[in-house]
Amino acid sequence: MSAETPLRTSTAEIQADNLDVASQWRLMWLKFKRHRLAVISAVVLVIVYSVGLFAEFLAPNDPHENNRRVVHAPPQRIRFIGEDGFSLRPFVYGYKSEVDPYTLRRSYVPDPDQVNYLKFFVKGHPYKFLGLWETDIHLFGVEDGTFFPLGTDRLGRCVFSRIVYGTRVSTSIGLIGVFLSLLLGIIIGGFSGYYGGIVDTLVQRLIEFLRSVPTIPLWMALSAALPRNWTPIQVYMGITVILSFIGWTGLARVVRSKFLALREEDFVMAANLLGASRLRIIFRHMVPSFMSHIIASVTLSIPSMILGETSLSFLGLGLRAPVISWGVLLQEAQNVRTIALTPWLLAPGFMVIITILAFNFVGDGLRDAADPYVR
Amino acid sequence: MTRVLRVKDLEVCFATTEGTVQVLDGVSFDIRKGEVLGVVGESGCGKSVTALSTLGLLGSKGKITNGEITLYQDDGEVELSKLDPSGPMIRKIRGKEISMIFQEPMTSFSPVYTIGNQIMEVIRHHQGLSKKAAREAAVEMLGKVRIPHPEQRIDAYPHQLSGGMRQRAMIAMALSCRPRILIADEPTTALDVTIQAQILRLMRQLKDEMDTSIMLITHNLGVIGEMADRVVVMYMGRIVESLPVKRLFEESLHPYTQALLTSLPVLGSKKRNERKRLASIKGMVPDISRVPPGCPFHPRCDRFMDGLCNVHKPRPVQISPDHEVSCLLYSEVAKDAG
Amino acid sequence: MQGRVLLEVQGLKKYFPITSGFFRRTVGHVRAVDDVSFTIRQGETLGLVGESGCGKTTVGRCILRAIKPTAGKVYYHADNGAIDITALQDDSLRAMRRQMQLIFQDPYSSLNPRMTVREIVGEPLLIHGVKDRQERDARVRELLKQVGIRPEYMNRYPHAFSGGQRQRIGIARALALDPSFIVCDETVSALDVSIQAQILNLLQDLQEKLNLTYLFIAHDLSVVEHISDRVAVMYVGRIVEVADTVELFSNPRHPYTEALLAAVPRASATADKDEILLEGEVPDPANPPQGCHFHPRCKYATDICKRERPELSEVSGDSDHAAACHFASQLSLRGVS
Repeated sequence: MSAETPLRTSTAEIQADNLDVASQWRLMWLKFKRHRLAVISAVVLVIVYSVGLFAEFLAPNDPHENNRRVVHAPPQRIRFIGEDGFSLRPFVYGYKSEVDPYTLRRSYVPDPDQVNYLKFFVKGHPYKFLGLWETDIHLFGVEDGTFFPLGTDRLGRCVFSRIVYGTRVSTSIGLIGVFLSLLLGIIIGGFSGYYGGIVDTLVQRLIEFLRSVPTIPLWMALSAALPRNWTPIQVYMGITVILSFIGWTGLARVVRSKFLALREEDFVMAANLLGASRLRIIFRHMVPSFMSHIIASVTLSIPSMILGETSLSFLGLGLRAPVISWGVLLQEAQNVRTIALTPWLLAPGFMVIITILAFNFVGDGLRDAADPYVR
Repeated sequence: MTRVLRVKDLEVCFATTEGTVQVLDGVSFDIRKGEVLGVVGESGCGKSVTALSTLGLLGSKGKITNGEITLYQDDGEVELSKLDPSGPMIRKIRGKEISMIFQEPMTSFSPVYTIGNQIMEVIRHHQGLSKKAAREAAVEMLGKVRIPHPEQRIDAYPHQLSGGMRQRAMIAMALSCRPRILIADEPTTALDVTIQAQILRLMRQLKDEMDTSIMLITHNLGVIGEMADRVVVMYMGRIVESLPVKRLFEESLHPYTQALLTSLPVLGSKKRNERKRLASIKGMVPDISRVPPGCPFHPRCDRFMDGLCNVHKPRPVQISPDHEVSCLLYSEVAKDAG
Repeated sequence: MQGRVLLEVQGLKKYFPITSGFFRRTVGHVRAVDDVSFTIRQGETLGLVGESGCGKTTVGRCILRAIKPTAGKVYYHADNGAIDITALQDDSLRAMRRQMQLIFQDPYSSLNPRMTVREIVGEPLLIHGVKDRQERDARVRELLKQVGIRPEYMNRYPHAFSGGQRQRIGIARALALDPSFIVCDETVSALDVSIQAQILNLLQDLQEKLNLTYLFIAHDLSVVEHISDRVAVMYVGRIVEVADTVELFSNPRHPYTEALLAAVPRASATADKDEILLEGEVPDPANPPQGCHFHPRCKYATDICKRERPELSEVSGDSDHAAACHFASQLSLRGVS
């Protein structure tokens, strides 16, 4: 009998044994893990969202605080080597303002006389940590002098701190917008795919119509319709609704095509022949089968939400000051002069690029892993 | 009879995510001029890999690690396993000396060109004919494979033809340069039985007409019985037995061959209304990455000898001039006799 | 094998509409099943053979009400009288499903890859009211043992099993509710030869032990011959011949059956086989030939075959042998044996 039940000895065999009882999500994780770029991007996204979550703690300065004396100041470089030689503790030089004798333009240069050491957990402007308790501890900063790691804008506000705060709004608008699209997409797409026939035809034509409308003018029209006297929060919600108004069509198509494909699967017919109810077939057999695909598509559609918000705000039609988002920040960099003289104002753009790329890579990885049963 | 192809001690490995897997282990056989060599075995036994390696079509993951594949031409020999799989030498051989037809002709034709275009391309590539002459040759070929109205059908796209007609067109393309060897990989598996019969008859007729040798890969022993002259039986990347088809059904010696034959219901064998059981092979084919030691068939074999079959790899034993068996039952006998 | 009739199919039709255009207007019908009648007796296996597109799968699905037939009746003769399956509505249909099950062709797509074997085989029990988990598990164990899968494997997912094993799991699921009638739709055609024999033997053993009745749909004639007690041959939506297996294979009365048998590749093929081989291809079921659908390919066809559709009627001298050919009694056709 020993010949029939060989002892599993090698690690490969034991691993195979574990795979036999591995669920869909575990198999997906194993497959996703092999996609290097996606894993790295996932880490990047976790960092980006943590930045959004802990914005007050991570921002060294108050993003709304004006510093009339250092307008359009360049980034302060973090240094280890100064005039006194090497220092283990990083520091920045303060600003010294200079006026160009010919153009009379004011500019700021590092002043080696003012040495401000960077410290962890320094006291700064007060805030409520996660909205729970009052504190004034920040992760890093300087105790005396100024610290603008990415320079200042036209009102002397800290660009770095503003990007950190903007992360919260820009990334969350993607999530909420996608959530709304998903809701619409699953309901409408599911209807279309499950009932088929004339319902399906009508929904498909509607989707095609919506997709053929040029997005920017539609957004512009819709956001122009938002009342001017709305509070920033209301505008924020309004914008997400506008974004998801278009966004649901893509997801509805995915849901519908999955429904149509799954309706023909043998195992769905098997459940039907066993007398399973409609609800059971949908929620026990069909939904789990396309959930992973939906998650992948959702990941891939978040970037368009973020870009949508950025474009709208950049055009001055989306969020408005005092709300801070990447789009609002980029409004500052609308002309060539900015790019020439104060390139640090473009930094929010890099955040947008990094986030969008990361979402796309993660989405790619998820899509590849979404069906771990491919033979 | 003269040899046209000789495969000797062929070993092929594939790179997978779990590591290297050896899919062929010491495969040796000859194909002679004008004969049909049947290759049978269950899925995963390596019969298709054998065919692909002769054409250098293993892809980037597969590699010939040992052995020789020799093509005998009128003016000398070519060692196919040494040729660069994407080089000009093997491309001259593919389609001209050795051509191949597949199970599903839909996937082997490009859907965006007419079948005539694709057949003409092969003819022009290998024979350097003018466009007009190539078209004439293609029409003639389509007529040869009994496609009605070939001068019209030559302009049809693959999806406009039925499965049977597509397979005929595929055969026309494969035979358009009168290759020495035609490799047919499950050529009728996707077809209905009446269409299958038509295609098999066509292949038989064309083989005689063009004096082509055929390597016929199939899992269907009926097709082998009807078509082949000799047969090699494969199991887990090895040839377990090779013998003339005439002897296959009565005189096969390897337990796997015998079991394969008895597990198959035979048409017309039912004499009374009664229920019979089939003799089945126990268990299933192991994963190719976990080939059992010794004889790979030993865990499923009824005549398993402990201490021998699970230890020693059987070597081919010559039973008669055309009959070889790789089984320790017979090598013991051979040893005792010698 | 003269049991009582369990299933009676009368005049079954299934037409699929062909639609085109923006508003999906119906421009024609594919007559997948066109007036099919037959009976299956308790405890027997009726083989249903034919080439692809002949409608054999649709017949099976109509009987199981996986799709609703266009016309016709399917009577299930229970102990307390006949039930017309085509007329059943929601609840009574659900109750009826306990009696009739399907075993699929493709062992890969027929099992939900996201459920464990325990869930797959236990699902019919759960649906039909076995709420107690332990009771369900005990039954699942018993079923798995019955089909030759080790019960310890019940926590595994389908991807851990080979094609043959998956087919066994599919059989276990079909048996969970103790059905009396099972449709096997090409159940062994995707399997390797050695596994095919195992599954055929399993089906036979289960039939004996559980007193099952099978409708065995297949295109492989030797498999059908092996497992069936009676065989029906279909061509373009109609049954052309039905008879006891031995009778049909040794003494066919329809020219199509003769040609089908001759086409099977065999080692002992006779030299005159080529004479019987069919030319041409199966006609399009959306637009079949007039009269006898087979006449354009039939070498015995005369004028009447082009005009009049032959009814499926008893061949003289044998009440169990029927053929749909104008010349069923005159022709002397060759069988295999």
